[in-house]
Amino acid sequence: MKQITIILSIMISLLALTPVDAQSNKDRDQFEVQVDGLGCPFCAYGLEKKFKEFKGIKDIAIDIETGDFSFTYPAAKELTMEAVVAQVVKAGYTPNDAKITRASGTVETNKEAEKETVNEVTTSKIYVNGMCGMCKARIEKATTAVDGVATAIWNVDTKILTVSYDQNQTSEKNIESAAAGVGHDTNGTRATDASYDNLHPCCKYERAN
Amino acid sequence: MRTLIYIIVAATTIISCTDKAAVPQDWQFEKVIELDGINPIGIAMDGNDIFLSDGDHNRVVKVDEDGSVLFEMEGFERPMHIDFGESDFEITDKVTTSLLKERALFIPEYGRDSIAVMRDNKMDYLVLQDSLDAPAAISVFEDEIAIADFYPNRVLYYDGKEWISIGTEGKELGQLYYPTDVQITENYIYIADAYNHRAQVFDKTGKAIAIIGADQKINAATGIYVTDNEVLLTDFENGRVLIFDMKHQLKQIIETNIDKPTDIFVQDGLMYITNYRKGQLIKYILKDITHE
Repeated sequence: MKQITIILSIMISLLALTPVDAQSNKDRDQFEVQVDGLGCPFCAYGLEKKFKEFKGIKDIAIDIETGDFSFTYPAAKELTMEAVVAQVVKAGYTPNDAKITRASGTVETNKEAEKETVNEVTTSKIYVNGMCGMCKARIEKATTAVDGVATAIWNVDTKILTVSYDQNQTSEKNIESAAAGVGHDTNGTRATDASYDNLHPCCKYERAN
Repeated sequence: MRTLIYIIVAATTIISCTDKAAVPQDWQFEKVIELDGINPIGIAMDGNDIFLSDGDHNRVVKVDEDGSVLFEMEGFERPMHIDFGESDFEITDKVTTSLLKERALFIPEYGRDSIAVMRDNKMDYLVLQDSLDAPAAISVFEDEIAIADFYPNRVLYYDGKEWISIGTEGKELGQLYYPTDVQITENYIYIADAYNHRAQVFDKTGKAIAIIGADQKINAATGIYVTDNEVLLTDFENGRVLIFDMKHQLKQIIETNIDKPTDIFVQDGLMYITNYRKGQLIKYILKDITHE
């Protein structure tokens, strides 16, 4: 099934071709960030707008459906992971996984270390309230981050999270707490008002009283 | 006696006409117009000509009823909700400033924080007293202008003499949370209050009058259009257009073939809806409701 995606791409022309700009991509670092909160073109264009503050940025691509955001930047300017993540936050969005492939071939990520192998796997179905694809990304990211969880897949229509985990390491309660921790109510655990309020406006589902 | 007959005939005619006018109507799906390579954000019409802002491709295009591109204007930075208008607005070509004295297409450039003014393939920029941060829409009504200023959570309104700022960030009546579209009418200013998931109505002094659609579970109200009889609002994430009467009561919800809608235009009983993601125009027609 072909996934419907819209790729926004722009080529930013600079005032003149400097030696750095005239060089090929081997002299540019490649940045890839998975951004939470891009729901519509207004959001995507807004993220792009904020990143244009980095003079020399090129090859910007944003996939609204997945939140995948990428661009290249002159290697000589040594743009850091911290600066990129901070700029996403400044634009009003939440950065998830981020990766920099330096022109030298070095790869940097902000991803946590791979979790240990899960031994005794149990599968549970948990109701988690949410609205959209962005909620899905957030819920799955939060719950798979729980030690002992192997996989977590949330269905946007049924709002059921199917989660496989090691009973020796975690529990349904812990997994519900993880979802609630990022603003999503479950049958057993209610998110704090503060975490609910922090959700992107697109994601503000109707809460049970 | 003859006079009496005339009166009866006239009365019958009037009753007949009244009955005809009273036939209830609603919007009914007509057709999908495929737009090859266009992701439309905004729509405006000049007569029967359809103009679309293609945000992803930084251009404005004129298309025909089949969706074929008749011509395109390039070089914009994320053009958004566009509008036609005519008045003595101050414009500049960056070198000289003059008054616009003819009908023009106004194009808010979200990525450039400016309002481009196009006429006869000549481009100028609207002279503003305030700076913008991601203008998402413009409405021109006689000598009035309203601009939805996305990031500052406000609408800038020019009443022909001076500018005022409408709205502050928030969720209460009179507050906005990322306005994406605006329309001026004879007496009011209607705003698509996108991430408050509703529309709002202000008078021309900037006083909030009403909230529309707050109970309809809208998810991102991205576009608004107001006719003499209806307020139409796009529900982006839910793929719907909600139609309210002038007392702000819901009249109809249309969904057929609507997917990620961003804007609406209504003219002479025809409605065009922009499907951003799929690159389509959806056409509806106002028809008598038939009971089969």
